[in-house]
Amino acid sequence: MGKFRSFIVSFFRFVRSLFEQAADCQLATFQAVSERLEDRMMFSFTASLSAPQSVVAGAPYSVNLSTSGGVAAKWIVNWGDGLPAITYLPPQGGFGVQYQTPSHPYTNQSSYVITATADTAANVTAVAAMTLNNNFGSYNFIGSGKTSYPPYGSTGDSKGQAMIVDHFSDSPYYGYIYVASNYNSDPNNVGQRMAVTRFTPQGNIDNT
Amino acid sequence: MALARFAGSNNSDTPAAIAIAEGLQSTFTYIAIAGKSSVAGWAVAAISANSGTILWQNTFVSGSSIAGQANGVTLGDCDTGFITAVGTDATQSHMVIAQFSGPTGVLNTGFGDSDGQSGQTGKVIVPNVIPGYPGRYVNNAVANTIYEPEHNLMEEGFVIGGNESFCTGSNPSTGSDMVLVALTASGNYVSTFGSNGMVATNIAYGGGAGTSCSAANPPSVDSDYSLVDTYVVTNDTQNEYVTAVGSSYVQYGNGQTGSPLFSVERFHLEDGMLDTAGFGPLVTGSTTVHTGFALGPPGTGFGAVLNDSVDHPNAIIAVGGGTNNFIAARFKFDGSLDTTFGTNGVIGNTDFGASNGANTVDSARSVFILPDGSVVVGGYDYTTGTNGQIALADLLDKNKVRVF
Repeated sequence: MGKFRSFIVSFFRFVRSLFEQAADCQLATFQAVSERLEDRMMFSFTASLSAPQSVVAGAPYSVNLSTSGGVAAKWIVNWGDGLPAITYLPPQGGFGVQYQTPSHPYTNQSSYVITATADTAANVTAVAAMTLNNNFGSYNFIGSGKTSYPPYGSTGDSKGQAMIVDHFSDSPYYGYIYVASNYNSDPNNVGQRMAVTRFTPQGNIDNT
Repeated sequence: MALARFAGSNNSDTPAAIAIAEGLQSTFTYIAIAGKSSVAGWAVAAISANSGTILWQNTFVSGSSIAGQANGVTLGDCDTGFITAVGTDATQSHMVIAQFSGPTGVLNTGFGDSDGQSGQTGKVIVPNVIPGYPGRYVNNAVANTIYEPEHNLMEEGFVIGGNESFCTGSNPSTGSDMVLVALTASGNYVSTFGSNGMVATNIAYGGGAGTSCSAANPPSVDSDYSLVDTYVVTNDTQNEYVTAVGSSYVQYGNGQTGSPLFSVERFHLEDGMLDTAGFGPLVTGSTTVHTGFALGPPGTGFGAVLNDSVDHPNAIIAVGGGTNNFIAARFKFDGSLDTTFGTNGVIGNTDFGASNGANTVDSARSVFILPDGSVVVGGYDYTTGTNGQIALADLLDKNKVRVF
């Protein structure tokens, strides 16, 4: 009886060892496959850069950045205008719009080679580039270069008396036009008031 | 659109000036407007440029020294700074400058409290500065515009442009002077500028026996509406100027006047003297004489902007009203018209037309440079007897670099 019990114990130990060896083998196999996939992933890590071929001088010019085969931990963009390259990091918690669409103002009409380098956490890099040709455009002011507007939502009197342009480059309304006018079409018939109307740089009324 | 209604239920509020600034302690951009409220006097308001929300609005009732009309405004920042406006008093006999708290709109009592005018804290009432004749009759004195020069001698100070019209019983062939006033940031006169901070020039030429002199028969007018700073391309900071744009009437010997002409004057900022060494070529025969001023096309100048570029360094574009059309003229740094602009330096055919075929009265009031370098001009158009509209024109739809 004692020998039989010893045999059973030995048998189960043998079987367990077989399972353990098999598990180790599977783990090793998984690790090998994983390393090969990572190698393959890094090998195919690519960066893309796209942007329109027109730019308004002085206005923010945005490019679209993307990667395949991996995730960029940061972007290094050389805007090609002689200024130092700028590193763009994702905001905390993930990717942000500004991270993937950085912008930069160009002030002189010329051709610029823009280079964007994506860098993974494992320091694997990919580079994308584009050339912004000598293609500065304008805001294409509407109405054959001139237009006039009735008072907002009515047909009353509203003569423009003074105008100013938002010239602060960090303003969300950079280049927008503000016009001060009278306004005598108030539906509540409270008389003529002062009004400020905002126009887009193209000359459209900004109803927002 | 933001609407500001001042005191009164059926009033008539009309703006005359607008300014923009960024706040120092917030992300807001602010707008300031100034003008006239028909039931009060000056009307000033601060508006959030982002949302259009009225932050505050203020009027000044009849009887106060700022019960006339505000014509110009400049804006520091609404977070911590001040809004400074210029205009006229209730009788339109004095130029007036007043300063308001950006956050609240109340008068800044620290402004102008040591300018020798008792009881006028918060504002400066400019005395009539024209060296006059005995019995001179000043029938109009108005400040039209205010400018903050970036110059070490005028750091954080102001140059105010306006005009004074006058005549005298004994010498009716008088006219109007363009007046500049230089103030420190605290509202005191800059003693090194002109005569105790004030300069008056009369660039109308001609003269002779005129008509009678009275308020009902005022003299001719030359006035400035907009100031522009210009810089020579050197490192000599003393060569810095302030340029005034307005209009002048040519007077004839019989006292009649011709059509108003665009006029531009340039002054040394350091002392207020006319730049008679390098501005304003007046050609007489084969001789060119610099006068410090230049005359442009027929029209009344209301606004101007520095239009500096590689091709046109330190040029100035002046805009205003011509013969029922927008009119714009570009002056080179020496005061001559830039013949590469429009036709011989002038674009005078911006007509907004009318759907019924009638002529429209179009007048430009302001000009600014868009980020793409094109020149946008703002003003109004209306057909006589009908309502007016806001009118915008883009004069140079070209590929230009940013110029501000």
